[in-house]
Amino acid sequence: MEHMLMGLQYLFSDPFNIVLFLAALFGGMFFGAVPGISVTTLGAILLPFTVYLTPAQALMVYGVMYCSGTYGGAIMAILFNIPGAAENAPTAFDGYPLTKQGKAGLAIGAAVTCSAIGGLMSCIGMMLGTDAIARWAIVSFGPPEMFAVIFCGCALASTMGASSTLKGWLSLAFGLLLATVGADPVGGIFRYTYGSVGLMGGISFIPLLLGFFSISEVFSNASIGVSKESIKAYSNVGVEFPSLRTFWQQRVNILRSAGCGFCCGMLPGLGATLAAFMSYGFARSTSKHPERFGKGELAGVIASETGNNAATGGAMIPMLALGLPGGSTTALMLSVFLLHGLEPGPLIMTQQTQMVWAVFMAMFLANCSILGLGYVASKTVTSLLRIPTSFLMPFIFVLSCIGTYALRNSVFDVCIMLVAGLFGFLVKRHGYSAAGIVLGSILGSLGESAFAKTMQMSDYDWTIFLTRPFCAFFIGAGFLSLGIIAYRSLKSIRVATHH
Amino acid sequence: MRRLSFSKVLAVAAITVLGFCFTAQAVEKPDNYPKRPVTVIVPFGAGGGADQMARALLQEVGKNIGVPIIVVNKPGGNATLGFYDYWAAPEDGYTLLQYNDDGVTHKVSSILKQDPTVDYQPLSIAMIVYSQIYIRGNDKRFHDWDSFIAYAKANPGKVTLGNIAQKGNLEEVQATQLMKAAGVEFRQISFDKPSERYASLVGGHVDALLEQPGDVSPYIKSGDMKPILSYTDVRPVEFQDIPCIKELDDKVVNIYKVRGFYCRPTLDKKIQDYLREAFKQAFLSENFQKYISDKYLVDTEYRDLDQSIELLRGMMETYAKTYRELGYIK
Repeated sequence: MEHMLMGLQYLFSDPFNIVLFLAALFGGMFFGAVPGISVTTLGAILLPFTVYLTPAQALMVYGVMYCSGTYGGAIMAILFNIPGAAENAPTAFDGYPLTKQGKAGLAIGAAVTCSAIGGLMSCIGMMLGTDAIARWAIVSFGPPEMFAVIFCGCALASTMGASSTLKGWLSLAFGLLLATVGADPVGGIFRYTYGSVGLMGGISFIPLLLGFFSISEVFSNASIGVSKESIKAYSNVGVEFPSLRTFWQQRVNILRSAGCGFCCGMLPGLGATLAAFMSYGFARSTSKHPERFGKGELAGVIASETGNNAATGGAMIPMLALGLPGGSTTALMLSVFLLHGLEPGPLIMTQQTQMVWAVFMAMFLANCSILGLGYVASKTVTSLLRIPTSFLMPFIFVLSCIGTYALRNSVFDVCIMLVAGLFGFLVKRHGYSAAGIVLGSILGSLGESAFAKTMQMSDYDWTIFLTRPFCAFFIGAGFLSLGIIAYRSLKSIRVATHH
Repeated sequence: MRRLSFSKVLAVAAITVLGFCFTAQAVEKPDNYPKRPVTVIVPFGAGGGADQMARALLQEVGKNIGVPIIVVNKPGGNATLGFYDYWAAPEDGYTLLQYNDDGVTHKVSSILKQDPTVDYQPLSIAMIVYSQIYIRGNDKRFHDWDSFIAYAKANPGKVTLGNIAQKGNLEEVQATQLMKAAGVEFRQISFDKPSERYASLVGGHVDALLEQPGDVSPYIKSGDMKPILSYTDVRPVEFQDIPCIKELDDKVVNIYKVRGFYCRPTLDKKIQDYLREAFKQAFLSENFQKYISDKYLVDTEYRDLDQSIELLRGMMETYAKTYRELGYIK
């Protein structure tokens, strides 16, 4: 408590701090919302300028940007099916269908509130989090456990967005196959590159994400043609805010997603993306109506946004306690430390108490501000949808191209995005899942590298997955959920043939 | 607090004085250059070690040539994507390249056909860093190089070494050198992300780690990691009490992480000279010297074109020799 007051006192003792806070809040939100460029981009640009700030100010800026950026990505995902970053992809699964149903306000309202709730809960977790917890996490979770968690995440979310179980699994498997393109994580052997330099680095998931989500949407709109109805459907924008009762009904979902997000955030290398997908997968598999997911189920938006924002606080623990960043934004924070001659790592929590708590409080307040700002935003941002589709779609197309190009200044990536868009448009018509493909390609590369390390560690002994308790638990949970999904779908097929 | 050796202070002072001498006879500024901002392609991600160094040095270079320098990060393809982009750009002095030892290894293993000493050449070698082997500070099984090797010999094939180890890269060659010099086998485990690599040692998932000291200095100071061997010819000033690889095997030719900036020799000679001088002044500037002062460099010497090429050639020979031993090339 004393520490909290100390942090608050620091924040408000200098008006310049408040200006910085607001600038970071809006900057993060803006960069988070525009696809391709992200808070990491903004952070890298700002890095040289942070030498003019005190370490606490600089870190506060990054902490606030981190929180608001993760939320910013949700807006575009819900309104236009353009996830600002991979961690916002599951938000689009249900957010965009809600927008199509004229419930954009509801979806954004839920996203705002849950981002804030998830963020606040993880802030509290972060303040309680200590060196001991961070150490426990890295000792207990080595490569075998990482693989098990990723496997479990894949299994939970394996059928999302597909018309049948088989098509869902096929989509996921195709995504996993895409992840194998490029150099393999151990020997650097090139696979499926066909001599192309562009493919040697692997297929980055941002072009896939934008291709499968936004570009395929542009194509399907073009195929429908611009009719008066389609314009009318979009202009029917609700600014309804979810009621308190809705949130109360979702309390279990919110708590579970926050917990799940926080834990994923704490593991170096996994972070917010897995957090969002896992929370979404959990929400879907424990729901009474899993068939509603992907068609505009508010619980999906809630799970995904709570999860990815909860990861922010989780990621701060290993970063501050051990100097181990969980993602690119926390890696930039480490650079800030180094620029100021501070050594991140085990000593920072005890030696720099005031600074650490100023950052904690800034992140706490940032999450509170998201709640207020988001309420205003959901009423204004949704008016973007009043733009007729015939104008909106070219705009989305251009924005996606720019976003993909900006990622690493590569025309090749833009081509990948266009191919993915066309492909996504075709397979979605036949009930395959674009979400599954994207999930497979993101988790595939993480999972493969964890698997390879595990095999090197155990000298290619498979039983390592069953002899480590956490590992066995997650592998078991993964197989269990695959079994349940298969059983359910077989049962429904049998029922259908009997009739 | 690390000790600053007297010789090091003296060397920096001498370099600074020398720098001033050279400023006096400044290289003539070419006509019509530079007229617009200069782009430097960095084939590595934003925020990483290569990128940080590039931004630190290029800020000073920008001051010297009077136009802003734009850093374009283009990671991917084992650092070849950015290289191909640079190679496709017109050679007018407005697109330059930052590259590291990948340029050398890619040439030797024929991934790239361009030779960093012939087809493109250093403007400045800005950073040369050595590697070390680390163990956990609280490991009960061993506490220094001798006890570590004794343990490894007693448990053949059991000891794991965390590394970036991709076929033919600096770290893989260094691990091979070590196994040969010490006469033991390690099981190498490739961690591509730095944070995972550090966590793997601190978290107890590997027994030892091959890293550069500048990247893990916080863990050395906190006692989480303990260096037990340096990949240097003589013991570094900062680590006088731990052995260097040359003491194990005096035939080892050390290779280093070498980060520098490049242009093509076909670029207008006047512009080349002008840029080399600008990079040199930037290297010797107070800000950049301060930046590299705590990065655990092999040395802080400034190398001119001939010296830089000599360094790169020496590395190419070492790599070629090791690759032949490993059977990567004939």
